[in-house]
Amino acid sequence: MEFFVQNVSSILFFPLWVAVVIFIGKITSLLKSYKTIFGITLLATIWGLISSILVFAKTITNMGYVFEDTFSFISINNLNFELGCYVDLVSAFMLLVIFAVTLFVQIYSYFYMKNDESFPRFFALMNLFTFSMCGLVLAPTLFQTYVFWELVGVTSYLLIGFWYKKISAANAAKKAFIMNRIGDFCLLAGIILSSVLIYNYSGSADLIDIPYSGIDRVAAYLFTYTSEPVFIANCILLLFGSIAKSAQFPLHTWLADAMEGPTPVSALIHSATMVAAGVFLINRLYPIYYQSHFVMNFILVIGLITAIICAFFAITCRDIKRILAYSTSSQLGIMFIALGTGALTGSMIYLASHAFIKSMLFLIAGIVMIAYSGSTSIDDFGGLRKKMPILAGCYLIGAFALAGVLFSGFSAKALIFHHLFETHSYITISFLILISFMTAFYIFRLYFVVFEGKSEKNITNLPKLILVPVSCLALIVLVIGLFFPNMGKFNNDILPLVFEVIAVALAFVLYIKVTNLKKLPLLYNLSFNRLYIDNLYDFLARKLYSKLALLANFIDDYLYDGMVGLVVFITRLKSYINSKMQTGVIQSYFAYSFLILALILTGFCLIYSLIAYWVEV
Amino acid sequence: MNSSDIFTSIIFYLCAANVIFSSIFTILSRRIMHSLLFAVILFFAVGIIFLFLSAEYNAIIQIAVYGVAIPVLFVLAIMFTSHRIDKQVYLSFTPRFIFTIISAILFVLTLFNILLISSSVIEWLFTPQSVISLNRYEMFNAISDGLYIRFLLSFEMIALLTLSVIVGLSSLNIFKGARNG
Amino acid sequence: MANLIFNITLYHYLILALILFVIGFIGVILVKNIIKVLICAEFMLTAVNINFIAFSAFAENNLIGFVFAIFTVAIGAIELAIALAIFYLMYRNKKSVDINDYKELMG
Repeated sequence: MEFFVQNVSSILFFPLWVAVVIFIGKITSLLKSYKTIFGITLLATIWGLISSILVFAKTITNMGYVFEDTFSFISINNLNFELGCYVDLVSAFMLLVIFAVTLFVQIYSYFYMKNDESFPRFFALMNLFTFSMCGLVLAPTLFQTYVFWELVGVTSYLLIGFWYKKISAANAAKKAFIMNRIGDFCLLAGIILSSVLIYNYSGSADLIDIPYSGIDRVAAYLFTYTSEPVFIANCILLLFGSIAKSAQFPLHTWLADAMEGPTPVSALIHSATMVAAGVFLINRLYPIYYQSHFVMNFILVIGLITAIICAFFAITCRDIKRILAYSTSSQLGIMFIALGTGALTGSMIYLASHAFIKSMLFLIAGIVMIAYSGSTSIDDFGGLRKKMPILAGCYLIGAFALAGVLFSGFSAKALIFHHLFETHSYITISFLILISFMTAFYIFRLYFVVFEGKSEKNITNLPKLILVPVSCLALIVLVIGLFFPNMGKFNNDILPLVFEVIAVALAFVLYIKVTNLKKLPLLYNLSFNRLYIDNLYDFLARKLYSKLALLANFIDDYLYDGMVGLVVFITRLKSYINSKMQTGVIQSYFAYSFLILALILTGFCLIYSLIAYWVEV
Repeated sequence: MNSSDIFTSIIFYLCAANVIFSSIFTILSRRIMHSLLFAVILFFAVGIIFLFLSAEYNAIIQIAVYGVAIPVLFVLAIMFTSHRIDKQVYLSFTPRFIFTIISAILFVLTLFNILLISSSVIEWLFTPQSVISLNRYEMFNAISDGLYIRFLLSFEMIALLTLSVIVGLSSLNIFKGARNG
Repeated sequence: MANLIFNITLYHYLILALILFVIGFIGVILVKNIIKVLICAEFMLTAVNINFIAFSAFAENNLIGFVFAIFTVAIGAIELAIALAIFYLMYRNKKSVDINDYKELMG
C-alpha cells in the first residue's frame, strides 16, 4: 500500500498521458478504433480506482496520516511556490469518489457516444478532466488548487460546448465559463490578498503559497493580524470561487444551461465532481473560515438560499435534465449548510452519497432521452415503467436515497441532522426540513410523470449493456449507506423522515390521482421563470453593458479624439495666425517689431520698479 | 522768472506747437505737397528750438539739410510720381492699427515713467543757460574737436558713405524713361 | 506750476521729442502714400535729434550730443536719398504710390 501512496502522482499522469495519446492519434489518424480509445481510458481509470482504494485504505486505517511530495515550481530568492501531491483523509476520500463515478460514467459513455463522430475528442476531454480534477484534489497548496481549478473550468467549458455547432450549446458553454470566471477572479483576488497578508504578517516566506499542511498557522496569522472587515472580505473573496464552481446563489444560473452538454458530462462533471470541488475547497480552507462567525453564517445563508430557491425552481420545471441540475444546486446548498454549521464529516459524506445518486439519476435521464429520441421535455414522457422496469427500479432507489428516506441518502442526511440537533440550530433544522420536503416532492414528481401514466409514444431500442453501469451505481447507493460512520443513536431524525414521506405521498396524489391540475397563480410563475434571475442577469450583461459601451464610445469619440482634434486645432490656429502675419506690407512688420520693443521696454520698466520697491522695502 | 525766461518760454511754446500741429497735419493732409510744406515748417521750428538751446551749429545744419536739401529731394520724387489726390488716411481697424495704438501707449507710458523716475534724480527746475559757460568760439572749437579729432573715424566713414551713395545712385539710371515723360 | 510753465526744463524738450516720435511712428504705420511714410520717418529721426541736443545742452560742458546729432543728420539724409531712389525704381514698374499695391504675399 505504501507503493500506491508514494506513487499517487501516477493517478494524475496516467489520464493525462491517455488524453495526449488520443489527441496525437486523432491528429495523425493513427488511432481510429473507438474500442482502443475506450480501452486505454478504462485502463487509466481502473488503475486510478485501485490506487485510490488502496490509498484511502491506508489513510483511514492510520488516522492523521499525511503524505506530501512537492517540488518548487517557481523559486525567487526565498519565495517558493510548490507543486506536488498531498494525501490526507479528505483527498483520498474525494479521489475514491471521483474514480468510482468516473469508471461507471465512462463505461456508460462508450455506449452513449458510440455513434457520435467526435468520440475521440470526447474521451480525450474526459481524460483531461480526470487529470485536472485529481490535480485539484491532490493539491498541497492553494496556489496549485487554483491552477487546477481553472483547468477544470476549461475542461468543463470544452465538454459543455462539445456539440459546438449547436448555438445553444456554444452559448451555454460561454455562460458557464464566464460565470466561473467571475468566481475565479474573486478567488484569485482572495489568494493574492491572503498571500500578501501572510507574507507581511509572518515575516517569512514559508506560507506564501498557503499550503494545506500549514493551514492552521495560516489561519492564525490571518485572523490575529488583520482587522475584522479585511479578514471577512478576504474570506468572502475566497468563498466566491466556491460559490461560482458549486453553482450557488447568485452564480447559480450556469448549471441549468450546462445541460446542453452530453449526458455523461452532466453526470460526471456537473453532479459529482466539478461542482463538488467548491465544497472541497471550503473544507480545505475551513480553519480560516471557522474563526469568524460572520463567514460561517455567510456560508450557511448562501447554502440556505440556494437550496430553497433551486428546489423551488425544480418543482415546476419541464425539462428532465434541468430538474436534475437544479436538484444538484439544491443538494450542494445543503452541503454548504452543513459546512456553515460545522458538520465537516457530514458534508463530505453527503457529497459522496450525492455524487453516486446524482450521477446515476443523470445516466437514467440519458437513457430516457435516448428512449424518446433525444427529447428532454417531460410532456413527451410517460409510462416507462412497463417498458423498462430495471430502469424504473434504479430510479426509485436513487429517488428514495435523494429524498433522504432510505439507503445512503438517509444515512448522509441523518448525519447532518444529528449535527444540527447537537448544535441546537433549530431555524436551520426547520429550513432543512422544508428543503427535504421540496426535494422529495420534485424527485417523485419526476418519477410519476416519467415512469407512470399512460405510455403513448414509441421508444427506440437500447443496447442492453448500457444498463450495467446504472445498476452498478444503484447497487453502490444501496450498500454504501452501511459504511458511513454513525454518530450515536438517531433519535430525532424521525421528524424529517415524516415530512419526506408526506412529500412523496403528496406527489403521488397530485400526479397520479388528480386529473386536472391547476397552477397556483403567483408561485407558479415565480418558480417557472426561475425568480426572473436569468432575466436580471441578461439585462445586466447585455443591456447595461451595451449602455456602458455606448458611453465608452462617446468618451472615445469626443474626449480622446477630441483631444487629438484639439491639438490639430491649435496647430492650425497657430499656422493661420502666422500666415496672416505675413502680409507683405512693411508697415505691419514695423508695427509688430515696435510692439515687441515697447513690450520689452515696459518689461524693463516694471522690473526696475519692482526691484526698486523691493530694495526700498 | 525774469523777462528772458518768459521770452524763451514763449518762443519754446510756439515752436513746440508748430512741431506738434505740423506733424499732425502732415499725416492728415490729402495732398502730398501740403504735407511736405508742413514738414518744412516742422523742420524750421525744430531748428529754432536748437538755436535756443545754444546749439547754433546743429541749428544751421538742421535747417540747411532737413529744411532745404531734403525737401528738394522730396519735391523731385513727388514731381516724378504723383498723379492724383490721395484719399483720406488709413484708419481701418486692421491688426496693425491696434498694435500701433497699443505700442504707442505703452511706449509713452514707459518713457513717462522713466522721466518721472529720473525726476527724482535730476530736479525739474534745471536751467541751461547758467551751465553752458562757453562762448561761441569755444563752442566752435569744441565741436570741431569732436568732429575731427575725437570722432574722426565716424566722420570719415560718413563721408565715405556719402560718396558711395552719390556714385551708386548716379550710376543707377533712375530716370530712364523720364526724358520723354 | 508757474515755474513749470515759464521755466523750460530738460523735461519739456524730452516730452516734445517723445510726442514728435510717437506721432511720426503712427504716421509711418498708418499712412498710405509712400512719400508721406518717408517724411514721417524723418520726423522720428528729428525727434531723436532733439533728444540728443537737449541732453547735451543741459549737461555740464559735455558736447558729445551736439556732435552726434550732426552725424545723425548726415546719416538720415543719406538714407533718405537711397530710399527715394529705391522707391522710384519700384514706381517705374507699378506706377502707384499706394503702399498696399506693393504687397505680393497673400497674408
